[in-house]
Amino acid sequence: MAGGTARRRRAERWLGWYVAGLLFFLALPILVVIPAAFGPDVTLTFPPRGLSLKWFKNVVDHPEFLRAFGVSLAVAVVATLVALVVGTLAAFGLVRHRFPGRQAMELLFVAPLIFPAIVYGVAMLMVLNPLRLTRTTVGLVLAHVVITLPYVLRTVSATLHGVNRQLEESAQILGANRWRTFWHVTFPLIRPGLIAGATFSLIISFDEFTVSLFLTGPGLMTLPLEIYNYTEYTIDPTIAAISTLLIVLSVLVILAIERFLGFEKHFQL
Amino acid sequence: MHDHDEKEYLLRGFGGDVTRRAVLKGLVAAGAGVATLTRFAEHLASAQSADVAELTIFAWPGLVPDILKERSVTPFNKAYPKVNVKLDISTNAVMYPKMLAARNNPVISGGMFNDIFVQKGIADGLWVKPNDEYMPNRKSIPAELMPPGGYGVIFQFTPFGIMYNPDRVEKPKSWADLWDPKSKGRVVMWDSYFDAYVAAAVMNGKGPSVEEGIKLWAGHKQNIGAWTTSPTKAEDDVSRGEMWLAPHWGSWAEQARSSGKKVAFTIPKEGAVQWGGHMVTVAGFPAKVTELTQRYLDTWNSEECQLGWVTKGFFGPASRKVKIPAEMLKLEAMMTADDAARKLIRYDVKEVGEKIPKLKALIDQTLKV
Amino acid sequence: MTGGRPAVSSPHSSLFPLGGTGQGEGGVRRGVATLTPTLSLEGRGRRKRRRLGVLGLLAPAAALLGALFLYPLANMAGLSVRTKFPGAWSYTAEHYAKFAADPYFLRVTQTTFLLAIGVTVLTIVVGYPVAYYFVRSRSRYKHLIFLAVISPLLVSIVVRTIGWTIILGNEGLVNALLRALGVIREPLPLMNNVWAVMVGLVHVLLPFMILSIASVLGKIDPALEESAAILGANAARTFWRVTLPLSIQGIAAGSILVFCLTIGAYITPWWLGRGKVLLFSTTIYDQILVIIDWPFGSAAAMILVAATLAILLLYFALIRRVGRR
Repeated sequence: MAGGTARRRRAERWLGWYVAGLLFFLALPILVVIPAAFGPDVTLTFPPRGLSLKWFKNVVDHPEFLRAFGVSLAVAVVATLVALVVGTLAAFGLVRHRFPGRQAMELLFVAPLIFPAIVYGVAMLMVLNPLRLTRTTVGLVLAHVVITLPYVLRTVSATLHGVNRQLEESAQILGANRWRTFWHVTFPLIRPGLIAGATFSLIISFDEFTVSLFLTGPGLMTLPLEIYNYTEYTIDPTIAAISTLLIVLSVLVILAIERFLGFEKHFQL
Repeated sequence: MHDHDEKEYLLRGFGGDVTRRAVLKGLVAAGAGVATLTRFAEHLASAQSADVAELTIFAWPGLVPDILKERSVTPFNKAYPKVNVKLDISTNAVMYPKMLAARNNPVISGGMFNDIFVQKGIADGLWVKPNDEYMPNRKSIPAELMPPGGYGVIFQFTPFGIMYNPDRVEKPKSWADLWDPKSKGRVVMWDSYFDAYVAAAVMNGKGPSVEEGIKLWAGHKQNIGAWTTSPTKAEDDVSRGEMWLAPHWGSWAEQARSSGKKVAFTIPKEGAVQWGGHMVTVAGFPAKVTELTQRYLDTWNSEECQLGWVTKGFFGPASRKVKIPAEMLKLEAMMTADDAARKLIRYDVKEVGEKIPKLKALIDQTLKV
Repeated sequence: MTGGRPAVSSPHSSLFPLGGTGQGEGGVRRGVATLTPTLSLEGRGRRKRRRLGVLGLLAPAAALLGALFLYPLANMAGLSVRTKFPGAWSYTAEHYAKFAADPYFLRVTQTTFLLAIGVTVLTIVVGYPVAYYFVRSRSRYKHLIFLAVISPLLVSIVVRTIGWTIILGNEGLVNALLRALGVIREPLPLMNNVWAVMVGLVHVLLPFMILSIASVLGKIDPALEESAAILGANAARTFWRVTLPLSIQGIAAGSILVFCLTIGAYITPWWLGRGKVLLFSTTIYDQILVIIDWPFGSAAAMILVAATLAILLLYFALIRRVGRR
């Protein structure tokens, strides 16, 4: 058996190197752009020729970026919460019950994924405009809910499917009502699905560009669009500075989650 | 945070002779929705006697908003203190479809568009004609510079020539330099603006025809390294040396250069094509709103504002009355309105505007496959 | 009661693991003697309440998607059969005919779907090992690995594009390195073509694939792999015969996601291909925002959705076939 273990360990090491290489690939565009945020040149180059913090100052001088960040964050959080509630209900409906037309329903709930975002953006514009919901937070949140719902539905269904119904039935036999059964038995079991779905939803909503392009305007701008708008005027390392700040923030959030909640336990990945 | 920008043009009172019913009738005629009517009726009910309004004006991003706020909105507010001018910042391509979709409930009552979109708007019935009484500055503009159709009023122009990276290529002397085999894969081209094709056709003696220009480019398509839909992207490409040559607008090239990008601008010997920025008034608003909009837009042609376009944006002034600083006149991108009227190449923007789908398809099929 | 069901669930289970066995129980079917009432025990009132219960559960999602997805979709479909918009119009199929008759658009379709397949296959091959490592490793830095995996999504598309330009451009790092090493004299055209688009899409869609596979891999009981090892299988056989089949659902779910996102992607290909890669999404964008021919753009969009649906249905059928084996 010794040869097998040694071979396995070598395979693991190769795997480790491969993964490290791939993670480097994933981080690469960021790694080359971030340094430009600290350089003096107006054209983003790598490596930067000198040191300057003027682009960070420029971010501060443009308060619209902070405002847009707030908007993106708020929209992402609200859309995620709505998607979680609606998606979990729907997941229960689809997983726990059999009824005619169930497969059609599944397809409907997954459909927003296959619809090209650009067309959805225009379609939403044409529908929301007479309702006077364009350039409103409500309209934007609704569109984001539609976009993120399939992801939440998928992850929650996946975990719900794996929940052993015997546990729920045992609880009910022991006297718990339906709500207590859900809260104390089912909910903790599907929580990883909820968290995974919420993570997908938050990231996708925050990064969303195409559909938001049509539903925003002055008074309501998301961060990706504000950055894009800025590049219509000039392409300079201010955007690299913004990205640096976002990366730092994400790192802090992930570290905080790890420290206070425990990453593995809650993500169960 | 309430949707302040959705309030559009709420007027809280008119002169005494406008009856409530007449206004509502006017709104129905303009195609406003029920929601607008109810909202409007509510506000009419609580009308005050003063002249208060809010105008939403579409403007381009970059330097434009600052120039406008300083040299257009502020002077306008001295004459009309109770009118709130709100600037909606976007680009032609993004704003036009939005306006088209919103035509029955228009929010923007006036704005700036380039030649092509002015013609599109005429064809789609989006604009109303300018009234000389509200726009006196129109008289200082050479007639040749005005866009065809009678709806738009030009307020700035710039020559469309060649932007290049001075470290990588020699200053181009002719439009044919874009076809130099040494620049294979190093030219940035446009497929949504056709000025470069017009120039190529003129150079070959075929007159200002976009189709002819496209056909001429077919033999040299290997020089096209990238297509762009944004001036800043082309400037960035040329500045970092990825691309070396780009048919481009003088004003934008000069703005990039003055901000530190490594670009230069020149007008080839065969001439430059005229690009104009025009103001248009949007249909679908009550007469009072249209009047205020036009009075506001007219400030873009005031001497003060014109100098703003010149000194801050490197644009050519549409008004004859403006004196360009001598230092700036040395730049190839700068010229007076009369010079522009004489020297710049013009093409049939109305025809081109109508044929955009065909022209784009022609470019796709000829130059992109 | 549970007998006779296939080992891998229904076609749609790749997206919704509804029927079939509970993979949460380690992929092994335990005889779940559920107390799900049979029809004979249920009263009619109970059944009716159940049906209303189902309706209540599904109503919010159905209402939301009906109003905000189906309706706009129908609106677009309606636009696609109008002669023109805005203005006076009549019914016509000319836009669809125009699309089908033009070799340019057929080429666009071909490029789009080939690209989507390529990107999907690449993300599966490249991403699976990462998902495997992520799930199985006992590293203390899993949260940082997660961060690295989702990092492409944390920065805006604009920044990603400039990053790739810096790396892949004529004046970029790759070319500079190759020239310094003397491998090439003229720069390799790595940008503004299908290679840059592919790299860019794989880069931004890998997180989706990795997380899809990882979430399914995570539910596979490691005891299964250990048993296989004890029974004499080496690492390769264990993977091939045990792990891979059990993670098919994750691969299927991930590949559907990546495929559809590639088809609908327009920002990344637009900025990295710079007009030299002819894709469906760019065509639709051009028609709607540049040329402003909404009926034709809508028709193109409908064709795209229909073609994607057709491929997905084929894929579902394939998965069902594979599952039955």
